Amino acid sequence: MSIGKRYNADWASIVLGLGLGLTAALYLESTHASDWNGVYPIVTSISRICALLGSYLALVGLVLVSRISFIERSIGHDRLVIWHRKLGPYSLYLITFHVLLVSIGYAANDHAKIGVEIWRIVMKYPWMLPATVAFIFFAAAGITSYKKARAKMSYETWWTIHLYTYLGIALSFMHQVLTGPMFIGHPLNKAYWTGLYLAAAAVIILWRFLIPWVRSLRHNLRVEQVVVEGPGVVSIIMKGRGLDRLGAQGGQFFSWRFIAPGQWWISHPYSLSAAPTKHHMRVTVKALGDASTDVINLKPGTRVFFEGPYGTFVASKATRGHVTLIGGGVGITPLRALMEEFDPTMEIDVIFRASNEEDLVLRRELDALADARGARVHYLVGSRKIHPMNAKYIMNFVPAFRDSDVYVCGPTPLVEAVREAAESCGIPKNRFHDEAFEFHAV
Amino acid sequence: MGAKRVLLIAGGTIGGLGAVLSITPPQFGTASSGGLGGTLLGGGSTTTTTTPAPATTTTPAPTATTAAPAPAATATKKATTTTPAPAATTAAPAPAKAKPSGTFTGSTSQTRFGPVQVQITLVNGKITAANALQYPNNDFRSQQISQQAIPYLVQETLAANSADIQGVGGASYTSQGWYDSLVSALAKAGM
Repeated sequence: MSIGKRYNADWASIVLGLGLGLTAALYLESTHASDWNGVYPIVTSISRICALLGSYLALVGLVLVSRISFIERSIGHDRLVIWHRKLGPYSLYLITFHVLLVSIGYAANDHAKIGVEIWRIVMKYPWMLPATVAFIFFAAAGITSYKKARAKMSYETWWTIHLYTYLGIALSFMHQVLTGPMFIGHPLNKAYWTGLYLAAAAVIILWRFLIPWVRSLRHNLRVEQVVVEGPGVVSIIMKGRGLDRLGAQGGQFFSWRFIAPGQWWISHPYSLSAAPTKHHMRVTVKALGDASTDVINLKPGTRVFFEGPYGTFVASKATRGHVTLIGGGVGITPLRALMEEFDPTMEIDVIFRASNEEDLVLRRELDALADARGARVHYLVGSRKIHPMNAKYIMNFVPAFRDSDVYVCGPTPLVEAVREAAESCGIPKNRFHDEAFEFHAV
Repeated sequence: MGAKRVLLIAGGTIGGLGAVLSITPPQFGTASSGGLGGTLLGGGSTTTTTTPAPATTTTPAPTATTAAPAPAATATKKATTTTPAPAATTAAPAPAKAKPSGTFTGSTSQTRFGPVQVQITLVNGKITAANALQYPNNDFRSQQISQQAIPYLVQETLAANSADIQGVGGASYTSQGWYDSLVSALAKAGM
């Protein structure tokens, strides 16, 4: 991260904290001594503070990934996604505490059995049924984002479940302002809270819907051709106008939405597999998930909505005169695009690892690019055991590995193996650039 | 996110909290009029008899004199802030020789969750009916608590035949409001 970005991130941290303080103050300002004069009033009070802070963090989490252009520019998409991931679990924990503690606190106050009280709260209190549904959506998004669960499902499934958090946040709003003692009879508190929600909604509608739509229509991006590159791997070539004005670079990715039956509802994060030109962009895709299988059948002329470009996996990040690009399987595609972006004086080594010969997609292009600019491409075909990606093995092919900038894209085990190799050679973090497939998510 | 950024977030949080709380400080101080649960509701006499009781039972007998002052002090402090009204009512019965009859409406007592107003019916100085003309029902939680608490408050009032009631735990505001309004209704009746 540059000095400027770090400085901006510091300011963002202060703003985040300020909002957190204002939100906690909603309750502390409106509380009375009787909210603290016993175990159960305290339990109820804590539950409400948890609710406020959890909801605030959930809103912040949404705003962090809402693609606000000036925030994306000043902090960086990758950093924002990392923050989103760090905040998400806290938000869910706090809201879970709220649910548990408020049930206990209310049951004790009403001298009711906890099951009876929960039933009564859910069925009788205003907007509690929607709020319960909202909590289920939240919990589902949290559980499916947990590393082990996430690894077991397709991106599309995960994304769809995650999408319901928007609905969850909207559904939970009314029970807050109608039953929360910090809002009842406190118009200023209610105004602050409503303002926060409206601002988040406005930001999301503007940056995640309106702006991408307008840009997609203006650039009139459409599928031109679908080319089979290897087993289950296709390139989608798209044509549009004035694409150079997007400022995209090889190595970056967009979120693509193909407006075709059964496809339009989901967007896919795919990296460019060639440097973009004024009229064309290309992605190369392995049919991994449920919906991504259908991209093979896309008809020429299909309209494409896009969000992006995203990602800091770009040539300008290189600090040395030599780069090592390491790709695993279809992960070679952003590296293929990157190759075109480096300065002609840059020395380039490419390591392309794949399980089978036919998985070496874009091979002819790689060879042509290598010839044109004097780069070396090392093809490693076979299992992980035959080609362990440790420092010693990599240096067989790239003796200058320890003095180069490393770019790696592929399945997580490959990325992690190369990360370890780089660390063991003393390559500092700012010379290690990775793009794990699932990093695109959100 | 390094330690520095965590500090910045914490600093922002304290700043935000401090700014709001310095403009509108929490209302702990003014809460005395809102009441602090059932123990307060019986008026001066019950407060002093009920609160020391647990204190003496929990403290061993020999050290009672040294341990007692602390809880006793707080108890009397609470009592003094809230007792003016009960003191007046305990004094009232003495001059009121005539046994009143009729329907008397207490003044409206404003609580944090809404107004409480009690109406009582007296027959020869005996409370035969009590009901709430107003009770907190702005939000569902208050409605629910009021609906649960008011039948108990009615029972307590009829049983005590005075404002000497315990109140209902979990409905401290409604109980306090009921008590205040009941006291004024009884005063109107000359009791």
